[in-house]
Amino acid sequence: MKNTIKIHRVTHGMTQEDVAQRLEVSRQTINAIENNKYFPSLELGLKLARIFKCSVEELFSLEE
Amino acid sequence: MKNYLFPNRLKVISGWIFYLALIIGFYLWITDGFDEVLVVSVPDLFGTDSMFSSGNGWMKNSILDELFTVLIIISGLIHSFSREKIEDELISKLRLDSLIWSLYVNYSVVILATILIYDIMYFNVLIFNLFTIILFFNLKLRFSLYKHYKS
Repeated sequence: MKNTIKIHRVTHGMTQEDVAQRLEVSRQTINAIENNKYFPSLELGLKLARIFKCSVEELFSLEE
Repeated sequence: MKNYLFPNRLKVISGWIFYLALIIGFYLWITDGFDEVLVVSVPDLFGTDSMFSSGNGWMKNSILDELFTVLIIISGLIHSFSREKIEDELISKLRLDSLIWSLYVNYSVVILATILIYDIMYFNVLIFNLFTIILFFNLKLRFSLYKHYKS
């Protein structure tokens, strides 16, 4: 699975810390998600989509 | 989400108690320091047939080793299962992975010891096994968290 969270985050002018605070997770968790070291739960994925005002499919996609 | 973790404020103090009790307990064990301290009458519920038993349901026993055992297990559990300051789902995953890893390692050691160690020496393996699961889990979890926080 790959994701475009970093692109969306930078587009919105947010730091990892900003996103982490909004989601009540640690900055390291956002870093791990961005670097594909950790795949978040559905709940966290939906919250990320809400922050970046896009669909979950735009954030996450299965690698071919 | 409901979980069964202890408050974060207990993490540091329980860690100090756990590791100090583990070191002091190990020292007392190898120096036979448990034998003559805090000797009191304790209930002899299962009718231990020994020279310490008075035959009336009570026996003389040093309770220092029992105290250390309880102290190590309780402080170890609290230290292992205290919340992090930010307890998120990745921390939960690290905790679960560490628990699985420690169970595999612990029982690998037990299997090896079962095959290689016999008689009264094997009794020592069982004593150590009371604490090694918590110890392995703790060490693995702290290492995983150290790597996580460093990233």
